[in-house]
Amino acid sequence: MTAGGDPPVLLVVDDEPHILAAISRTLRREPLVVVTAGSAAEALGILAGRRIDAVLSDHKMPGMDGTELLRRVGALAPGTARLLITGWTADLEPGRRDELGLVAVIPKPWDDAELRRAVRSALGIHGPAGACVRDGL
Amino acid sequence: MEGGGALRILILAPQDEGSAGPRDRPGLLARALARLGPGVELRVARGPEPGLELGDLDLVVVDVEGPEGLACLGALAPDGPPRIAVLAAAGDEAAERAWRAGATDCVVFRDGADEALLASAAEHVWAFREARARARAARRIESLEDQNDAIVEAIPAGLAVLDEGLRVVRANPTLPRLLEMGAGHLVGRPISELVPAELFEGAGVRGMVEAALRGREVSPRLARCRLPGGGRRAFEVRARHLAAGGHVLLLLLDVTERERLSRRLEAVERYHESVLGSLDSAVVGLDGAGRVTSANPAAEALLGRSAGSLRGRPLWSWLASREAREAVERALAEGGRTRDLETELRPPGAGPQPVALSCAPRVDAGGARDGAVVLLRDLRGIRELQAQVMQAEKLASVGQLAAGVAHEINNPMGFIHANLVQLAEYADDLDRIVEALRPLLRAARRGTPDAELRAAAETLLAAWEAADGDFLAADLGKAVRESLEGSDRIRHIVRDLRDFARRDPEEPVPTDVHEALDSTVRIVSSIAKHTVRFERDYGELPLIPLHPVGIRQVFMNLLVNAVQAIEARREAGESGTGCVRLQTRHAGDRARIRIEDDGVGIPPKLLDRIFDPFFTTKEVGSGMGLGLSTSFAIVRRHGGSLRAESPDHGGAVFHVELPLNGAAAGSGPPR
Repeated sequence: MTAGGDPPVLLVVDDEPHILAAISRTLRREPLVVVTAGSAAEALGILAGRRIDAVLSDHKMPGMDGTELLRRVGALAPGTARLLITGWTADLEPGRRDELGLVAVIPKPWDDAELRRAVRSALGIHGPAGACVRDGL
Repeated sequence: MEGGGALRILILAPQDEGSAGPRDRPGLLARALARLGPGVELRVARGPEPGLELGDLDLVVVDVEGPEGLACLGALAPDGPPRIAVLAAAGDEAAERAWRAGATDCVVFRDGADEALLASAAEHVWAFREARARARAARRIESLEDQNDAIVEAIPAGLAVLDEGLRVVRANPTLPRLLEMGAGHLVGRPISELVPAELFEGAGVRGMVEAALRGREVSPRLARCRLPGGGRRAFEVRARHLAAGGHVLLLLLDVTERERLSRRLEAVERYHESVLGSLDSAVVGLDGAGRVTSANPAAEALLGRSAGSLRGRPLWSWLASREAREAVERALAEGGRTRDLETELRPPGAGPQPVALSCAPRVDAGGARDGAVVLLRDLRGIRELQAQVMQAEKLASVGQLAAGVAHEINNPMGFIHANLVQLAEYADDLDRIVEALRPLLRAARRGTPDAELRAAAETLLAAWEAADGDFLAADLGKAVRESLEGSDRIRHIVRDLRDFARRDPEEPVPTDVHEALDSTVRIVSSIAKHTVRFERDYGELPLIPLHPVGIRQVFMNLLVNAVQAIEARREAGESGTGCVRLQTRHAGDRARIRIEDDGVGIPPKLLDRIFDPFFTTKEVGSGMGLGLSTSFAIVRRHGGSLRAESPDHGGAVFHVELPLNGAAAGSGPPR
């Protein structure tokens, strides 16, 4: 999944800046680069400008919501892994996950280990944690 | 002649025409007859003139000294008053003629010899009067007997007179009709053949008759039997000894209908009593002056007195409000009706009790007003139920909000927890840096040679790099501050929810309406953060004595409705965020709160119904439809008003008005 040995890049989208900070902290020792966006519009801008290997987006956001963002990501760049993090897992109709091609739906509040596992699996990262590559913070 | 009134005597002297002088016989007769007594009325006539009334005469004295006298005598009716023929001289031939002409008696009369006349007159007048009295008595008896017969025939009771052998001596036509016997001859037949055995033997009528025959007093008896026609009838039977002839009178009165009516009356009374007895509501009857005439068990319980001790007392003394007293007065004076007036009872020695009073005039059989009936429904249970429903409704709306609130808590919980996990790692990293720092500090303190000092510094630097010390230094404080902010947010949400979900204090407390609005907006905005904008335009409002939780519940219901109306519009395909405008104004002695949304609005035909209990346009499961009716009740119990309008340009506006002094705030919290 990574090209030329560069670490994979994860785009995290949430309208809550503290969430972005906390997720970045959680993933700070993972062998990946974390990029953050405060809205779906900002995320689409970032996606247009650089390589993104996976998108982890919040569901409820002002303006465009998470599922719409991930639907568009799927259409624009089908190779980008898509993960949804939401406090409203019940809101996601059955079948919608497959329809959107989501690799994971993570409930809020999240479990750190589960979040890390889901992200690693989405980015095809194997091996021990701790090989730290940092770019976003 | 005693006892007979005036003695009226007519003297007929026809032969005396034209004569006068010493042979004035009529004059002589009159003078003689006057001696009969002071009450004698004498009239003299020359003959039976036309129109001569004999009916009231006691005696006619006819002078038969000539043929005219005899003719005159003959013309008198033989069944009239006695007629005495007067002869001038004794002579068989003359007397014979007089007898033949119809004389009752024949006497010789001469001037100075009147004894024979007087004796005859006295005798015949007496005899005539006796006969006349007897005839009158006989006629009277006859007429009484006629009346008696008519009564006996017409009387609706069957009557039979029985002899010692219990045979019918006499019976009226009612008897066979009552007993459905047909019109056969009854007299002489044994009564046992006529009266059904069930009645005569079975019901003891024979015993009654026999006792009466022996002269005993017999009390009436009710007896039932089946008649030949198949119908069952009830009779009141009486038997009475008749002194004359040793007979007995048997009387049968058909009381089947009376019995049926009295049984029905009894049943109606029992029903009436059991209905009144089983009613939960107190029913009090009042006379025209408002005094208690009757009270059912519920009234006894409610008023704490027995019906007996309530009777005769005026109801006024227990009615706390003027409105209630006027309602009763209106029923008594004008026949006015009142329905479910909420008021309080003040029974002596007990606290006030909430009741619903209904009042209606009582009307007698003739349609005239006859006091009133007051119905008092005990509202204590209903008040408690109302409080429970309000609490349930409130909790239901909390339930609706729970998901939104959970999300509001989820976000901070998520990052606080993630931060804490990381902070624990930071602490481990810091430990390692501190461990590496110690040898350097020791070396510095001991004045260790530079080489050793440098080595220790290298170790520290390695540990710093390994732990990403620069990052730690930059991020540690940030992570703690962000977490603190998150926990603050949770604290506020929980406090707002708690303010909303708890029960109100008993008494109103000075409440900041703006604070109540704001905390409610904070809760509600959690379910509509990205779709609804809240705009505030607050005026100056003092603290108002309110039940704060109740008022928050009103704001909550109105705001949730506004948000749902906006969401309904968005679901219908309109984009863009909605807006809820909150406006407060101080107007006279009231606070005006206006909550306007730009949602789907309310159809005009539903505006009247939205405050009805259980009225809802929402899907099943979205609530009980009590939100607005509960809000209405809460505002009203604060002495305020709540109304809705749906302007032409769309959306809905709710107006809440609350009295600033809170004086009208009802008793007890609306919870």
